Parts: sequence; structure tokens; C-alpha cells
Amino acid sequence: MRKEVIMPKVGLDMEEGIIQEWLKKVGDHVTAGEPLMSIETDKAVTEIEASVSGTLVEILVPENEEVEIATVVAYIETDEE
Amino acid sequence: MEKKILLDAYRMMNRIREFENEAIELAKANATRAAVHTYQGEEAIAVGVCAHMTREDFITSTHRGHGHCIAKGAQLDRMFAELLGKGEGYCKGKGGSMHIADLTTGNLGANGIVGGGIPIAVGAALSMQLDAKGHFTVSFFGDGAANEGSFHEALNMASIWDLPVIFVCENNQYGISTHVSQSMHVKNIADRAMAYNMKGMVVDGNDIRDVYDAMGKAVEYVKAGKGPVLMEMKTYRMAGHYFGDNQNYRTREEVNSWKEKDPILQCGSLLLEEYGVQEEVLKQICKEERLAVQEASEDAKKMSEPKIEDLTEDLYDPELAPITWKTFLKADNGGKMR
Repeated sequence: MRKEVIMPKVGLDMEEGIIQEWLKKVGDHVTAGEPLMSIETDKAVTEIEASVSGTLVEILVPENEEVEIATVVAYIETDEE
Repeated sequence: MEKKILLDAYRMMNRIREFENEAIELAKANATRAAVHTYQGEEAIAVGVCAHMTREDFITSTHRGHGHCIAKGAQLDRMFAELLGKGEGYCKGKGGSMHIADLTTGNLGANGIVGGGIPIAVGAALSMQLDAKGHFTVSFFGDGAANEGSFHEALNMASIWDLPVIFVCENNQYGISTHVSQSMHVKNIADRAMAYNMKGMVVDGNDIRDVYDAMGKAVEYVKAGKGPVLMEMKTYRMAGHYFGDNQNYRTREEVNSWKEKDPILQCGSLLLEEYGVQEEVLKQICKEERLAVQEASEDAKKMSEPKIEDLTEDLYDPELAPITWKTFLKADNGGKMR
């Protein structure tokens, strides 16, 4: 199943965030709980873990680009059906 | 521990884990209305404790309260509805994640105030002692709360009156970002029971069997009228303090070392190795709970928004303080809706 990865809201007043670094490349396998990307907000840089296990199949937002919270930034093809 | 009880506990722990994972997804997507504090890694405590309770026995809970609420028997859709601020939520959407109360299951409520639930539990236990029907109250709280005045005052009073209350301290080792070693100078929080001439117990909070057995003994003790018990559950918060916490006060190695002691993994191994349960059975349980949680979340999203006219409902006694939302509007801007 194709699962969306979004720019998460990590602070109560966060409205947008910057993808500081993708910690996985397209084609890489990622396990739930493993760091997937680091994001930068007004307050801090935070590593975001993958919420599902699967293959990172598409990155929609490149590094250093700022997007609104809940924007789809990548897709993971999950291991389970 | 009987096989059926352990299997039920495994199911309940998975239900809580899946609920918490989904709660984080909702927080990420900006669907929740307040901070979400999750319980991953501590599930064995709520489940092992509540397995000994009926709906007539009460609990008080904490800001990290979803697990207690679920283990006490709450409906997942109405819990999600509360997180989402929906009218069908347990508190009609006005409480949010940190304030779910469900009197139908004996849950006197989560509490945003650290240590706030402990004196409430003592009051509830006093009512139970006066009723003399053999019921008891459990108060869940964390290591941070054990340094609050309310903890000490509550334990003292419960001890004086031999009240049927079990104080369950979930020592997950961090009060937000402060490690217990920096906030207290006792090895075990349970040692503080001594100061109130009360029974104290130290329990491995990541081992469902240890929690269940210890709780069994504590219940027997309070029901015999011997007075309150302080149980310290040694555990670890696998996720951040709340979703969004960047956890720069601890290392990833430390977190990963505790993931090996994950209470759900430990319970699964126990079922496989000592109870002869097939792995397929466990997988099926995980899958069923995941689907039930997903369904509850989807159902909650479709529920209705609360009505603005109901904003002050349940806040004031209608006879003693006849204040309504309309009163506020009138005072503010001549009764016009903004």
C-alpha cells in the first residue's frame, strides 16, 4: 500500500517547516521508528521517524524547501498489503 | 497467570500501542486540538493493573492517560473523537487528549495537572470505605508527580484512614526532560511508602506478568482493610514527552536499548515460549487491533463538530450560575455572533 509521508506539525504553533535533510534515498528500505528526515522549524531541528515499514518510492519535496504542515512530502510503499 | 488472561492482556497492549501510533499520526496532520502525550512502552502497567479491576473500581489518570482509559474499557471511537474535538467525544470535545473522563467505566478522568489526580483518588477511596462494598481506587501518576506536594499529602491522609487506594507510580525515568537522578535522591520511589507507614512495592513495569502478580497482591491487601499501597512500576517512555519533543536530553542508543525490553515483545515471547501459542495467533491479534483502531479513527473523523451554543454546557451549575454562551455574547458585543 502506498502511504503518504507528510510535513508533521511538531509544535503547537507550527505552520510550516523546512526539509533540512532526507536521511533515506528513493529506493531505500525504512523500518517504522527509523529516522526518515530531519525538519527545521522556527524553534529547532527535529528528526522524524518513519511511521510505517516499507520502501521510500518517491520524494516530492527536496531538501531546504519550506512547506505548510500536512503537505505530502514523500510516499512509502509499505511492506504489508 | 492463566493463558487466557495473558492473551487478553497481549490484545489490550496492542490496542493501546496502535491507538497511540494513530494518535501521533493525527497530531502530525494537525487534526488534534492540543498536545498529545503517548504511552508507548508503558502498556503493561495499565493493562496488568486494570485486569484486576471492575467498572465499580475507580481510577484517576494523567496527561499520559490514553492507556489507562483504554485498559479500563473505553470505546476507541469516542476517545479519538475527544482528541479531534468532536461533539461525540467523551467530554463533548471540550477536554481533548489530556482530559478524558468516562464515569461509565469508572475512569474519574485524566488530569493536565501533574499530581492532580492523586488527592482525587483519596477522596474516591474515602467514599468507597464509607460505602463498604469492597471497591477500591487506583491512582496512576508519574515519577515527576512523586515530587509534588499533592503526592505526599494524599499518601499521608490515605494512610491515616487506611483507605482502599493503590498508588501506581509509573516511573518512566523522565519528568519531561529531567532524568529522575536529577530530581530525587532515593533509589526507589516506593521507599517513600515507609514515611507513611504504608506498604511499598517495586515492580518491573515492562513485564506484564510481574505487574499482574504484584497488582493481585496489592488488591488483596487493600480489600483486607490493611490500608493503601504504593507501587512503583519501573518503565521507560519509548516515545517523546509529547509528539514533537526532539528528545535532545537522551541518546538514541538509550531509547533503542529500551526498545529491546518492549513490554509487548516480552509478552509475545512469553506466550510463544511458555504458553505454546502459535506465532500466527499473535500476528492475527495485532492485525485485528490495528484494523479496529483504524476504523475507530475513521469513524471519529466523520463525527460532528460541537455546537457553539453548547460551549458553556457542563461548566456551570445551571441553577447556581445561570451563565450561558448567550450571556457572554451579550456582554461582549451585544449578542451578535462573531
